[in-house]
Amino acid sequence: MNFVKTNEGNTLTVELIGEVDSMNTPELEERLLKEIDGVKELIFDLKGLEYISSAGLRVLLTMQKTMKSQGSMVIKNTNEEVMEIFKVTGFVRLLNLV
Amino acid sequence: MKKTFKARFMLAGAIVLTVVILVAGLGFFSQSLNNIVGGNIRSYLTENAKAAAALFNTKLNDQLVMLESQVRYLKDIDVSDYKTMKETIMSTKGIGAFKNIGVANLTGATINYNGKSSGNILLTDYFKRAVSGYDAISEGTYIDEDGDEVLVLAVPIPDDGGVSGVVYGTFTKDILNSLIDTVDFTEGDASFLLDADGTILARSSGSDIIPADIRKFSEVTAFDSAEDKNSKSFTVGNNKLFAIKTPVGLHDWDYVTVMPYSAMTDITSKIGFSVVKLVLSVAAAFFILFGSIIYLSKEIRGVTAEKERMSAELNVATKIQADMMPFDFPERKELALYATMTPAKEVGGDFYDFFFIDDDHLAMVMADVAGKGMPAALFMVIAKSVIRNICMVGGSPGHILSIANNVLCENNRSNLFVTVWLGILSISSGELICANAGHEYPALKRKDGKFELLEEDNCPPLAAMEDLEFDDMVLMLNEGDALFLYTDGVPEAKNAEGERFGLEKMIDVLNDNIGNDLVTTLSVMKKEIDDFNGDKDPFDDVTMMGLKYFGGGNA
Repeated sequence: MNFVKTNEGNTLTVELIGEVDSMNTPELEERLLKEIDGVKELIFDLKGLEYISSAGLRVLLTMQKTMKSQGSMVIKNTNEEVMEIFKVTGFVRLLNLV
Repeated sequence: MKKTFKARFMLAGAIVLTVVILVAGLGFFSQSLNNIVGGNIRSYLTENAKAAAALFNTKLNDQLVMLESQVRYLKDIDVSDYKTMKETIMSTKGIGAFKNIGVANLTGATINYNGKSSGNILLTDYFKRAVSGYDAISEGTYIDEDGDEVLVLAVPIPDDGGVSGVVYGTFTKDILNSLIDTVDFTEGDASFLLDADGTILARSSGSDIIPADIRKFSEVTAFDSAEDKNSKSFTVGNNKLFAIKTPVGLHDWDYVTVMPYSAMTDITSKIGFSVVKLVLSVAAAFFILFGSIIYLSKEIRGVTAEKERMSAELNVATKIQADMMPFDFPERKELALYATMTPAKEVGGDFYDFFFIDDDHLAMVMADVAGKGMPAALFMVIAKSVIRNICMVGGSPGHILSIANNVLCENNRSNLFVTVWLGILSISSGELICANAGHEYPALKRKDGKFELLEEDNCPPLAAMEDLEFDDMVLMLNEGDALFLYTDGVPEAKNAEGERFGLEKMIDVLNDNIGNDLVTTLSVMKKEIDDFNGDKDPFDDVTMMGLKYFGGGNA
């Protein structure tokens, strides 16, 4: 998993690349929680994401719950494979996919 | 335990080997040190003897200069007149290290500043040299008026281009001996001043390695070594000695330094001892370091033990988790039900459940808690009992899940969630009402058909968000239909190359086993997954449940 972040004012864009699974989610969660301090808009760019496990979904959910109190969170460029995961897990109904 | 023994054995071996190497190294080192130091000491002694001899010569010359200073009292008087000479010399005081200072006129008649005559010195070597206008030091010792053995220094008293007399001073052997001590800086040695005959004129302190009654050095040894006439090894009593001879540069006198071999060994020992101290401190540092490493590794082992203990706890958790899955599969004519759960190494949150709500209603649950470890396992236990309890109260699967969702959302600070497929089968009618909270699509096979994924719009998992609605879906099962439920451990099993088992392969395996009973089908599936994993430990729990419906009329 790779993690590319871009800060623009209060907007943080995080690009997740590769596979997000329970091996790398603890690190991802820790880093994200540090990064979103003061962020108003969190954007996940998933064009390079190949796979996300339920542990990874939990991180997205955690971030969404955290952002709810300080701004908003959107997910963009979801590719077909990941969209399929979002559909099966019902996350399409939870996440703000744009 | 075996490992620990092996490690201790290796450690002991390493220590023994280190000690052997140290001892062997020190032995070899000490021998080479003896050779090197021995060689160095010889050349050092030679150099030192030369320096001491030159210094001794300088000291004698200094004494001559002091003697010259006494000439000023005598050069303007008539020393041929003994009375005048006597009065004048007696009016002077001593100077330098001399025992006595005296004056002699050209007849050789003498008088010293104590008013005593040293007899006539006309025939002495020093008088002869001094009256010819040169400073003189006697070539050997003389016996003075007090019976003391003395070395005599003499300087001329100049008079109109000639010499009117001689001022002389005497050194007792004690003075000479102390003079030698002032020029000899070598520790552990003894120095001797030899005249041309080899008679010992003076000896430094510590010179008792050569007995005091030895008057001539030749009585103990002669410098007759074929390769070097200036050095000699010899033995006095039990002492093995080594002597270096160097000319003083006065008469044919020699300066001899004698060093016992034991002193050389002492130096070797001293250096060796220092080296041993150094080696020991290095060794001590090494052992402290080594000890720290052992200690730390023990700590780490402790941590590992702690980890193992936790792992054991998790194993217990895994067992509890496994034990929570029912295995008293219903034996009914209308249906066959079978399920397995194979936990991964680390406890996960998969579970299956089935139970009869009443005689005609069978509830089936397939679920997966996001994440691993104790939190997931505990959450799974809670989720399982919450779902079961709400099922017993009644309602459709969608309704049951929406209540369960709100219960599980409470105090869910870790943001855990659980994907759940819940189905309630009316055994008599074959009506299966189900709801899917974010769980993998079930695979359904109709009587003469093949397994296909039942892809519907899934609802979010339980505990993800409060107040969610969960949709019910109604399926009619007929005789010969089959349903396969699973967790993501099946399709997402990953091999060493990073490939995933996949849903297609899963469906293929199911279709290949349509004729088989559920126990066989599930074990074949498990074997296929294991084969796919290869040597790699399965990363996720693998949980499967199969249902075959034989028809309500079979009751």
